[in-house]
Amino acid sequence: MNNVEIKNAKVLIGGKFEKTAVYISDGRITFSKPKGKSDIIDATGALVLPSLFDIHTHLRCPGQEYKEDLDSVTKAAVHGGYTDISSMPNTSPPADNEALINYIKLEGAVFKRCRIHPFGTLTLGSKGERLSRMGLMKKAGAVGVTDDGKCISNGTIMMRAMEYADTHGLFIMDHAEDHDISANGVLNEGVVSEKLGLPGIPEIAETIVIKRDIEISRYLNIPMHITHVSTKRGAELILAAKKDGIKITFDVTPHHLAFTDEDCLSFDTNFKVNPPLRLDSDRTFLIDLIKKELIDAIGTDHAPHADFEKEYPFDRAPFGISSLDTAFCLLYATLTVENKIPLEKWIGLISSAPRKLLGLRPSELEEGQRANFFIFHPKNEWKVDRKTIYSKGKNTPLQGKKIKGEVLYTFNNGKMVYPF
Amino acid sequence: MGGMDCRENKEMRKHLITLDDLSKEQIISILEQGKAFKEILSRPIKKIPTLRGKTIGLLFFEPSTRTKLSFELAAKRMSADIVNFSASTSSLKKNESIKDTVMTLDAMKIDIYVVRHPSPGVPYIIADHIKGSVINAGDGAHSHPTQAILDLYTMWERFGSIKGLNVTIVGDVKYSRVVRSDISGLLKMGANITLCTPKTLLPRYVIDARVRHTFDMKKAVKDADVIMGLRMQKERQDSGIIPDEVEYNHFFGLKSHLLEHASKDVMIMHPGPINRGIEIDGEVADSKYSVINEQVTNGLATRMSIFYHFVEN
Repeated sequence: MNNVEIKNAKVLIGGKFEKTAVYISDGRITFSKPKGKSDIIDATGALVLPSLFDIHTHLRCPGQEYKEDLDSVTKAAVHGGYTDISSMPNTSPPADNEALINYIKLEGAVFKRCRIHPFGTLTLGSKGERLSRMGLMKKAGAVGVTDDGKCISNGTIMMRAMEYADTHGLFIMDHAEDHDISANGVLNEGVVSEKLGLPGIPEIAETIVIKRDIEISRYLNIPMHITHVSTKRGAELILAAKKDGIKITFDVTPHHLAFTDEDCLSFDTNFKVNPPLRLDSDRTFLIDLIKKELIDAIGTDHAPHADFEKEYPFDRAPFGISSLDTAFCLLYATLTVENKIPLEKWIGLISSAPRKLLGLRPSELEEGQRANFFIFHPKNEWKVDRKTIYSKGKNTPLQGKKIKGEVLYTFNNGKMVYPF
Repeated sequence: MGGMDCRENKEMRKHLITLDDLSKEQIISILEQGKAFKEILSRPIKKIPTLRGKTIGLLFFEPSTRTKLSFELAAKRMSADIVNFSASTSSLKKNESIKDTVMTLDAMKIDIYVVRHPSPGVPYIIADHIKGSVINAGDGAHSHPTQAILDLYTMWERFGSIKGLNVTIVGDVKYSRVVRSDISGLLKMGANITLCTPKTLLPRYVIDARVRHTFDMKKAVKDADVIMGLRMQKERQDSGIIPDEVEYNHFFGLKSHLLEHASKDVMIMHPGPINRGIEIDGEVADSKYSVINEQVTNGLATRMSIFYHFVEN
């Protein structure tokens, strides 16, 4: 196999951009020219960045391959600069046993594009009643446990599930939602939902569970991760708990940083997502936390759906945004272009930070490290459409729009996995 | 009928989905034209040829008696051909999507679609896939613009102008498409609005800061020129939003003794169908102040006017 030489790019090394050539030799990174022939990539104007890690991907398989399959999701991932994704267990059937964890790991590896790190459920069938086989799932390769999409409402069961998960050293993630409060809501409760006559999801559907989780985590002294925090109030509660020494972490999604409930005014179901898009004051507060380096990670909550499902009326269409293809570009446009936060300040939130949270090896651009990186051109403009989105789910609010910043190449273990 | 050429002067949007689609001037034009049509409805021969050769599709995805009848009769009075499509008899039961259904209908060259659907926003989906005009006949709790137009007409006909009128709306505001559209239209025309309803039936977020609200019926009806009652749906009680009908009637029912606090020629309105003894007492509904039946006639006249304004040449 030939070596690869990437020249004329700026390379993110140790948190700073350096203009240097990067080489791949034997699947590893080196900065000095290796022996033998090299294929040359001229990356003038582009950036070489550590490959991305998504802590929150809905695989849809097994069971809902019409929405997404392992071929399409791994294509979408590497197209977006991701070489690692964590799968949520709300598949059909739910990933609540070691056989399904095995299936996801083995089948996902077939395409040799990116690694899949599965989450298992906390409870059997995510029903919030009996504990799942968390120990055996961990042995099979599960990196964490969550009943994502559902939220265990029974406090006793939540406490037991956490204690049992902690017994096996599993990372615990919670989707904070009081389903009795969110009820039949379909977008943020506020002026917009009142105007549209659609049932709203109040902020407290999220914050009331965050408060509970903080108390459980404090009482049991077990770390907990709250995923896709969407409200200012929710983030404030977590930050205050951290100050008190409670081991609680959280992530936010690209879409909650980029969009607000006002985007739903056109009844476009591509903006229908759970937790819902909130107010601009929530959005700007979360962006500000990124500036202050107070957020633990960014996860996509990639949730692909079939066209016909998103063509239902707003109140009947499923929740979710297909995100992997565009997440990095959307973050770049929102955080760096719009809010002037340098890329090197936030890229860790989708590369090293989630790996660290899950206790996995970091992926940095260092001499001798595995060559897991991607090349991004910040000035290239591309059109988001059905052909340029590799996920089967075309349900992104960016559909039909032009976006500045393009992933040119993605390397996984030294192998070029994008373009295909 | 001199008003008929207003179409040449004022450009109308192609669809009527919410009252935001209409300017104040366009609303006045519809009201004025409605008056001409109302006169026609009082003639021995009530049919005019205005829409001859035009096809109107009535797409009702949820049950409706009054609104559907009103649209159907308005179309017939204007000599349009009518096709009916209702969810219970349609292929929607076979899981056909709205888009596919509507594209099939569009292939049949329908000029105006009158749409009612339980989900907010469906008229927009339909408008995206057809060549004709969409008139919203009610989409969930979102919008019911033709009801608002007929309500505005009823006030305008009586008082000559809507500006400065004190309009009190009593009842289920939160789940009502009628209220959303009425508020939008009344604000546009310069009325003062007061809502009276328990907190559980009031939106948690105020739609417009100009709208006031009170929980006290006496205060609510004080100096009111118009009091509008709204139907109390049985399911609000079942889902624990109000205790029961007896308690609701006690605090929020429209009773005759309240009328003495209102303006002396107060007008009682209700979009129908009414629940006697719940949101409105029978003697109020039947009193000289009540225009509930007049509203039905006005609905017919204004829907004719709306067809007239929205049909393409």
